[in-house]
Amino acid sequence: MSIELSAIEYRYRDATALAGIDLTIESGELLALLGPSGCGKTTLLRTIAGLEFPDRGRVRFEGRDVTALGARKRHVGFVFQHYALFNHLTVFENVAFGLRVRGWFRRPRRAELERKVGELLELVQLREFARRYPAQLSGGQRQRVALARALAVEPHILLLDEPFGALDARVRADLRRWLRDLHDRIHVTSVFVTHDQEEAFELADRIAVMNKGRIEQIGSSETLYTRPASPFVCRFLGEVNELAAAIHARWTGIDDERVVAFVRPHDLDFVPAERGEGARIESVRDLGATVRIEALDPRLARPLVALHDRARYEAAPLERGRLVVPSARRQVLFRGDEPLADTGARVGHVLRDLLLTQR
Amino acid sequence: MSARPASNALRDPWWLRLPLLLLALAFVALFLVLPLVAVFGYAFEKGVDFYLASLADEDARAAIRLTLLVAAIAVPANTLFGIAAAWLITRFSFPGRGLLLSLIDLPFAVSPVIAGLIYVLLFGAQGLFAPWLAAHDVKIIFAVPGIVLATIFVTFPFVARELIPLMQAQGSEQEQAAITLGAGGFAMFWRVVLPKIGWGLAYGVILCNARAIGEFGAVSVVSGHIRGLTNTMPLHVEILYNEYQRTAAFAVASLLALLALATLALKQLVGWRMRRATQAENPP
Amino acid sequence: MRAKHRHALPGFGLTLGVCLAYLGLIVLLPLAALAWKSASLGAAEFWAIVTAPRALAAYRVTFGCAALAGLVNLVFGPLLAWVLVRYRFPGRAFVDALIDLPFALPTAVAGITLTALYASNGPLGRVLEAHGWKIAYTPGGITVALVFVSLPFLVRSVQPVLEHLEPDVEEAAATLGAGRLTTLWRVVLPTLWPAILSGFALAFARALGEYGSVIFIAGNMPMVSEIAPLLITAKLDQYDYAGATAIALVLLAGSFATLLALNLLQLFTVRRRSAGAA
Ligand SMILES: Nc1ncnc2c1ncn2[C@@H]1O[C@H](COP(=O)(O)OP(=O)(O)O)[C@@H](O)[C@H]1O
Ligand SMILES: [Mg+2]
Repeated sequence: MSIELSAIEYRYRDATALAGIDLTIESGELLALLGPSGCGKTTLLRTIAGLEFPDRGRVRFEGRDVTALGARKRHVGFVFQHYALFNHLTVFENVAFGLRVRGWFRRPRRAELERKVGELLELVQLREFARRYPAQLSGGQRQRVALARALAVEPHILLLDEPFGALDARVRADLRRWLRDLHDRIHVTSVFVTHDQEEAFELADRIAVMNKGRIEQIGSSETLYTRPASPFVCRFLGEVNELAAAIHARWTGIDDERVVAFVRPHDLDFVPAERGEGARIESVRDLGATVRIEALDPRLARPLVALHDRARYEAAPLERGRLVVPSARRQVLFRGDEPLADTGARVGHVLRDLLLTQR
Repeated sequence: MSARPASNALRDPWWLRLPLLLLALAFVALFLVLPLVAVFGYAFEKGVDFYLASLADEDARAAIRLTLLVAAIAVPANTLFGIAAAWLITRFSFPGRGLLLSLIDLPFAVSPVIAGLIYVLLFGAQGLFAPWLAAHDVKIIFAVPGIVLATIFVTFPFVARELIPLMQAQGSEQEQAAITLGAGGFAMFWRVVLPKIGWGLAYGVILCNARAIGEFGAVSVVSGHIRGLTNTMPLHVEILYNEYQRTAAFAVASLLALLALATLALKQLVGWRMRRATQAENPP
Repeated sequence: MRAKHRHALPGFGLTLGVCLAYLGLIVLLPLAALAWKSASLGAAEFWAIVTAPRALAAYRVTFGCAALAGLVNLVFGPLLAWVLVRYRFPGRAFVDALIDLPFALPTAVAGITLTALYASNGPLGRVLEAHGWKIAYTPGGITVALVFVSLPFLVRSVQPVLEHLEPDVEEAAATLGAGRLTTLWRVVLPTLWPAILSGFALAFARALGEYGSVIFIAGNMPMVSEIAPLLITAKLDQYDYAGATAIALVLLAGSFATLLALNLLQLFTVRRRSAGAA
């Protein structure tokens, strides 16, 4: 079932949580809402679920306007950030809840109910925990109970608020892969909230990056990474070198404008300098698969950061104090908040000159 | 209660601990234990037969019946109100919420005598509604309805006061989850809210009940002290005492004291269950 | 505050309706009657009633005994809380449960029991009168009854604060060389003051209106041992509704002023605490 949000606005008493959201989510898609804490992700998710009602704008499911419909009528599975399990009910009863509260005629019979809950517990690999209470489960297990409970009512849409937020790193990674597999099997339209870009990239078909109640960009991980729509997106998707620069028409067709170049650390190379000038290596840290190198150019306020992969580093080791010339394999240029279209290929190899003209 | 690590710095030296402990225990013995023992001592001072006869007395039995009737109306009514008020105050924000909260606390600031007085002013012989009541031959003051009203007034904060902080602390996520799973208001209340607040509710109901049965001042103003008709147990105790039937008065009083003891025991039990429930929900 | 046109959870209309209807009938309507009755009195007439010598004496007894009882509990309430939280002794749980007895025991029962104990032929009264102390049927008796009913307020306000007191402050004081008494006096007690004062205010407000436990032991001599609530019932017995209402207003004003002062005090301490934390 597709979801269309148009011009959604939501204000709390003293804060604008959503400032005009337009977003279409395709049927069967797995979409991530990515953004810093407080940018309105939870509010948007709750608006889709019918737990909040927007001040302006419309919510449509498969073209049908559901803006005024309450959560009870929307058939949406919602997984709460802190799970919101019913503490007084067993795992089995938690999962069965949505089936038991159905109207008399749609309520499944006992054998049917047990079969169905059994299947779901199988799906989330918790069959042997059916008789336990939520307090007797680990965080990851509670998370899966919450998911099974939401799936039991066969929702058209599955919404997950920071589904892995409260888990430790190992469990998180496992559960993430498991959720992706699950989605590939059941194909329910899903939206999940996260502030972790790695999580969004690994799981989602598309990612909507949010900032201050607006959507900055929607797209696949590749689009976001290679063609970020704004400096905010660029900065939010991991570490980046940010260089105020002027560029010349001979490379770009644009003359001498004030631009900002964003270069990812692993798109930056440090080549040993031949002449006696360049950036001086400040620190070299071995991170295992990669080596993190920081070098300070005398004209820059902050050091440049490069990640060399191990093989490359071993072929040409660099030590502290060495003078190097930075060169970028790829960068993204912005003029103000506007990306400079398609300059990548033509300026790709000339960071050195960019640096030279930096103000 | 938390077992404190007996850090040396936190332990009072014996020359301080012993006098403080003895002083505190002496005070408890004098002001709490002695009166409690005295109630039963005086009740049985003429023997068990006299005690039983005092309770079997027709007027005493009528008083017991009336008291139970009043509690049976006031406590459920206040329980329903308390749940509604707690739900309203903890789950929605709306203009006037603060005012509602202070109104709920009001009876704690009002003398029981005044609680009775306001109903006399409304329904009494010179009251605001007196002409209408006389025309329709309805009697509220010096009759059971007045006693019920006064009791409701004095006891209505107890359930709400117990539930509001509890429900505030619990939050409403489980209720929201129930709604997204398709539960209607009734199913949500019955299957999620009630189990969540169960012990807190029990606590409030116990306190409300104890006060409803024991209320004296407010009821005394509206009752008219008609033997066998409008005398509750506390009022019957007063009458017997004033008629110098001290032992009979204490016999009826001992029933009320037993109720107080049961209330304290239940309160302890419920408090213990509540602590255990919250511990189970937030395992260390 | 903005009322959203829809709420995620059900029951807003229903519970709002129930609360308004209930409070309207049980509280607002009767209080309106109180206002109506007092409005029917002229200002001069009202003043004459509330400043009659008998009324003034009743306030003196009521406020005086309530304050005295509060002072007694100001000492014993925190002491009991301290002993219950910090000391381990056999029967501690029993004593802890018993603290609530004055809440649970019907006031009339407390009244006749205290009277029987402190009357001149009672076990305590006999001993006390042998030393020239007459308690029952004097303001002293009223104070004893009020000490009984208001004790739990002080203990129960101070107890949770003591339970959550971080031990490190006391430990720090000890490492700084403070003796135990100094630590209690200069470190522990100051942190308890807000709780003690709030307990005192609650106890005082309750004591002002107390009726059942007092009237038996008071003796109820006008001008000497008659409390204001009793004066109200006395006027009611003579069908002097207006007079009763006037006295009731004075008494209510006393309770409200006490609780208002308490709220202001709490506001003040919260401010100071959070300002200190910021
Ligand atoms: N109940 C609330 N009352 C007032 N403001 C709120 C409330 N909930 C959220 N906000 C504000 O709305 C904004 C968006 O919040 P939220 O949707 O929870 O963000 P996120 O989930 O992205 O962290 C934040 O600025 C937050 O402070
Ligand atoms: Mg959030």
